Amino acid sequence: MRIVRDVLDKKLIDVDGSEMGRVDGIVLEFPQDRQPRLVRLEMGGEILAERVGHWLIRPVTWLGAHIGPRRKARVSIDWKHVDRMGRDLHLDIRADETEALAWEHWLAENFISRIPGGG
Amino acid sequence: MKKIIQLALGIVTGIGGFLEIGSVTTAVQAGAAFRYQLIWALLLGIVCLGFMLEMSGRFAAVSKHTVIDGLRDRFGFGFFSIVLSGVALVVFLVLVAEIGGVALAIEMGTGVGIPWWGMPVAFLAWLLLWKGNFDLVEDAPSILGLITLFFAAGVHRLEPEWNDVIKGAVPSLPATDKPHYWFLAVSILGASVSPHLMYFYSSGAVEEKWDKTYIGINRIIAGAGAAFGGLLAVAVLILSALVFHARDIDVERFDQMARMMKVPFPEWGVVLFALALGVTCLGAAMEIALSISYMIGQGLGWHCSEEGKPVEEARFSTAYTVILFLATIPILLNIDPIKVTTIAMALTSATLPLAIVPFLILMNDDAYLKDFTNGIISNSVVVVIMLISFVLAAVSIPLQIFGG
Amino acid sequence: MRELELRRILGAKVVDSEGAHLGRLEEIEAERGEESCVINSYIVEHRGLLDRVSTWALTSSMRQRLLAKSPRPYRVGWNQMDLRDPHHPRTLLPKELLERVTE
Repeated sequence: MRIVRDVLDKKLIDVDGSEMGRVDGIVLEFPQDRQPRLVRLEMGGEILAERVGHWLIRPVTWLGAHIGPRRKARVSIDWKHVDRMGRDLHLDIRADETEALAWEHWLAENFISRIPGGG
Repeated sequence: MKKIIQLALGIVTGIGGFLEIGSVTTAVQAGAAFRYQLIWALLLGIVCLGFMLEMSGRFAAVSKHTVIDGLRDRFGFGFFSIVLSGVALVVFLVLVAEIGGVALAIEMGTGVGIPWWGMPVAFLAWLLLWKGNFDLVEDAPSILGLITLFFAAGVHRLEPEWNDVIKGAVPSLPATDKPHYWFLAVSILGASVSPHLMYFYSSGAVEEKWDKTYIGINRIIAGAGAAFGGLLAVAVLILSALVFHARDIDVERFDQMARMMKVPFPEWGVVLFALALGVTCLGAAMEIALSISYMIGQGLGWHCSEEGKPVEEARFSTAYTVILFLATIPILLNIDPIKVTTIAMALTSATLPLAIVPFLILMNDDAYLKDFTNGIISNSVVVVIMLISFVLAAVSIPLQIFGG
Repeated sequence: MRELELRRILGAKVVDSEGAHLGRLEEIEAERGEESCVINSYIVEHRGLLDRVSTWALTSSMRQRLLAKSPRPYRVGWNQMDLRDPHHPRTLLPKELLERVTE
């Protein structure tokens, strides 16, 4: 398997089949004298900002701190929760067990449901 | 049975959904300035569009993912964000033009100025997206858009010299005003082949849960839709040539364009024109707002669907709401929709390679398309037309800026 | 036990033990185990413009046709790479001793 080709930027699907987001970042672990390994998948706007260019990091971080759910900056998912790998990565956890949908819920509560017909 | 209905609706969508402010404006200006000499540009655009739609549909049917999904999966976020930004910015301009188009149509009917209509039009588009589902958004404007068949009827009434019309299918240079001629050719290509159409088409195919059994239908829908819709644009060009070129009239303003329909339909012509433009531009505005939202949402891995209630896809609904709101700002500032259209069409042409090259790479990747990757014809046709469009844009846009 | 984000090393210029330039770190080969995913090797290569843009370079048939002239990528084993400075990875062997990737 190849990490950039098969894991990075792929869509994450939770155990119920819902879209959770995409793999924006990957964390590797380098133990002393043992083989390094892939330990965590990460999602987050700041990570994407950094991948585009360093100049974007501060504005995006500022936005995240002042607008919206103001949750912890990044969502981490342990590699062991990856159940199946295909075009998308299927996990064995529910999206709501993570902070992945924080913005979705925040917008749903504070914006969308306040507009008539939003549901 | 379901497939037959989808086939019929797909073709209707192509016919009723092809014309919008870009294709109408460029066709009218081309017919008025150069009679039938730019028909070849329209045909080139139609062919390219047909191939691109077919590819988008095939991609969605085989890989069960949208083109946007494929773009981020395959190229990574860095490159994806460049393509996304470029396409989204240009198509946002087109959105402004479409809202302006509806506002123009209403202004014709009421006499009340365009800036007043920006918000109500955007609100109407938003309401239809908010309350409706994908089928409504796709099908309703397209069925209403069949009013554009009146352009074909108008051509029939005015009885052009068909021999002369057919000669327009072959490129021929005008005696004078060559920079304008090439600029219009570029604009026509940009009006026909807009990258957001690819993304929207593949999103639709995924929403309708197409699979490999739809590949044949997809070919017919893409081909027939583009062909019939495109022929309506040719009809507009012919009408304009018959009405304006014959009288040596320069067409800059919308109300002038509307009078084109007065000749074949003395009583209802202007109303028909305004209605046709109003309906088709509204449909196009809804489509573009959704397309941009799909681009952002699918690229970031959101749940993006027009099927459920807005609260079930909060980020997606927020996206199209914000986009439509932002698009009203230039209208409120009294920007001329025709000018925005002209710029947007030329920019689309110039940025085509940015969208098409990665798309072609995807279409040749058997990891996504298995046995259904592009054949040499699909690849060649699209590459050639894209190059023509890019080269023409690179040459004619500077000329137009510095010449006109 | 050190942790490193992939984006720190991805695309970094890699030199060999003598300081010769090998290319950029473009891909990581790994193996899925029961509990974890272990890294076997790093792929280091010279990439043209088209390849920079496509992360599936090694499997794309289009790239194969264009690739005729480019030197083949290096496969550097996990224990042959020094990542103490993530922005300047170094291999522990000279390039002549490194494995090349066969298409």
